[in-house]
Amino acid sequence: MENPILHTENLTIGYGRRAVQSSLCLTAYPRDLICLTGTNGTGKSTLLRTLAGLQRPLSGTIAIKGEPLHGINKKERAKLFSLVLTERIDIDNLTVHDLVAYGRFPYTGWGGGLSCEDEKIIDTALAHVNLTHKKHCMANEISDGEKQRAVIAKALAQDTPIVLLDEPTAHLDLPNRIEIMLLLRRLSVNTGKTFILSTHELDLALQTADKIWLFSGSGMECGIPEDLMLSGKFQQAFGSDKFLFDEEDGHCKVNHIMGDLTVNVTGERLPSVWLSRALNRCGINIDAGAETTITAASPDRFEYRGKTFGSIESVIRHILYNT
Amino acid sequence: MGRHRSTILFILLALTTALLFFADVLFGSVRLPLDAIFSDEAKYHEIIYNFRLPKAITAVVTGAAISVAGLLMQTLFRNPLAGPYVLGVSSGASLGVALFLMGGALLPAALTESGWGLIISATTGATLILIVVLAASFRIRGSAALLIVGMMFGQIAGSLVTILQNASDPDSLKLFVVWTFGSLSAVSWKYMMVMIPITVIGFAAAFSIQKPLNGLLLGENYAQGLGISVVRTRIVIIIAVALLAGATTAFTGPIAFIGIAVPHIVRGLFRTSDHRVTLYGSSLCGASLLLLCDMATQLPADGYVLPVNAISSLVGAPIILWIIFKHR
Repeated sequence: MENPILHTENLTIGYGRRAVQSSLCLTAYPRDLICLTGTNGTGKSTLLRTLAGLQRPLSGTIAIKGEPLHGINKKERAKLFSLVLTERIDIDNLTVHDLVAYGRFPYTGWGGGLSCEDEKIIDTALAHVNLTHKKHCMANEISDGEKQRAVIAKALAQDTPIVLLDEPTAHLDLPNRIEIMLLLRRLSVNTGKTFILSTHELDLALQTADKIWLFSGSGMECGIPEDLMLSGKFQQAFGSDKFLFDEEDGHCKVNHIMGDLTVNVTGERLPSVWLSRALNRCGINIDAGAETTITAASPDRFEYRGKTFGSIESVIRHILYNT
Repeated sequence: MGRHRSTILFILLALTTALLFFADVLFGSVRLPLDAIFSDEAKYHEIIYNFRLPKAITAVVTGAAISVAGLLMQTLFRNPLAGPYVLGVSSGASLGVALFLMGGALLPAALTESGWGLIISATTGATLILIVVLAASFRIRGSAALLIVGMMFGQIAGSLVTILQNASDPDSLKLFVVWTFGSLSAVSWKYMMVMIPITVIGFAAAFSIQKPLNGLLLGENYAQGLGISVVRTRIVIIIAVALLAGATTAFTGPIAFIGIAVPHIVRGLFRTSDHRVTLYGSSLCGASLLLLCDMATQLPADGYVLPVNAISSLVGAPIILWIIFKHR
């Protein structure tokens, strides 16, 4: 087994005297894509900020490649951790190249001049995130998704073994969220770096992460997504009767049964699936043992109590308003 | 591509500054012929060496100093509307001078005579206001709110000055009133010997932190993530601004809006926010603009001179309005 890149021993994080999480013993390996998830206020950002050195741990130690981080200066730390934060970078007249060049800060001299080597690293970083063609564009004029990729390129150019990202998919639309997650997935394999990110995208995290660090009010669980799902830890962490995780595929399902009406759905597979979803959405319980049965004969033929309906909408309307 | 353009712009700016410098020496209530600069005639010699030359040098030093101070403050506060005048730093310097001139009758004359007293009191006043406004900036959000806070502190300093004026004896009051009329021509060679070394230290401090200044543009957390010591950089900025704004205000009086406007002109001209360019650009552009303003003050004939503050406001205030509309 490879040696861990990051290891924490009894780490307690929080603000002032208030500990948010305590006794954390975490381990991360090179090439890991680790997603931090959990409800708000359980310490995801606090952990990232503590690892990044933006705030001090309340107690415990953090070790990189077996070496404790004690008393390491800011500049050396900047060669171990690079950051992608939620705050906007808004600098007038800044080109994408210049934004990525910020990653070379810990390596350049007093004047901040870039060597040929630095320029090469910047080009490689831009190529990794597919932004080579936007190199000379203004960072404030590219799309939000492209800008987030540029900030990730900045982190890559910083050439650190660990990249910390605080909600990198927030504020992005669905295609861009998926693109960023797949990009990180690809980068972790291609660059050998460890990516640790916080996210509220459970579905995406479950499908892309190597490891999940699951935060809850009562502590933290680490593991691969499937183990956490199978052992019911996910359900515990998000403990709520408003939704549940589908035991088969891990997708999150909203749970809002409103009345005492229970029906049984039979018939063709796909029409049944979508009819069931519509019934769920309207707060109607579905149970194979129920007395009332709706038959989805085909996508445009639904039978309910001897009547025939041409669409899911008409069945639902009949159930909700005519009974 | 960008580098080429910057080099040409720098050469043009430097030439403009030099040209304006000579024009400023020749142009005034008494028009001098071009060859007067090199003539030995006593009357020309007197005008040029004891009046025009110190005034032109003061315009260059002051214009560059308050522009660099404005640039540093805009980066420190991450606010396009920051500047020594609008955030009350100049008022703080005035209060320092007022306390010194009207309350300092007990101080040794040597201090008053040499100008060191003026510069120390102005710099101290500037530092205090700067620290207070910076502390306030951590608690409020939004550029406009900070502007109002700065103006309020400026008002408080102004009120204290008025109260002092009422309470002080006629002799020291006169000293202060003369100071408030302060213009670029008030700086004699003697004062120059004090003003220039102090501003040079201020410039040196500013230019020594060009890389961390660029880092601060990203915001505090990103800057820390890049290994920049944010606290140390902030302290150097405060020292530099206090020295630059304090030392020049001590002798010329507050000069409005140049400090806030010039960095915007430079960022627009050079199309960059990189301090390795804007620090030098602001120095040259600030010097040129103040030389221009100074010449404009001489426009009315009959030896009557307009206050430089009136001209600089006329130039600077519209630029601030433009910035506000641009950021809407």
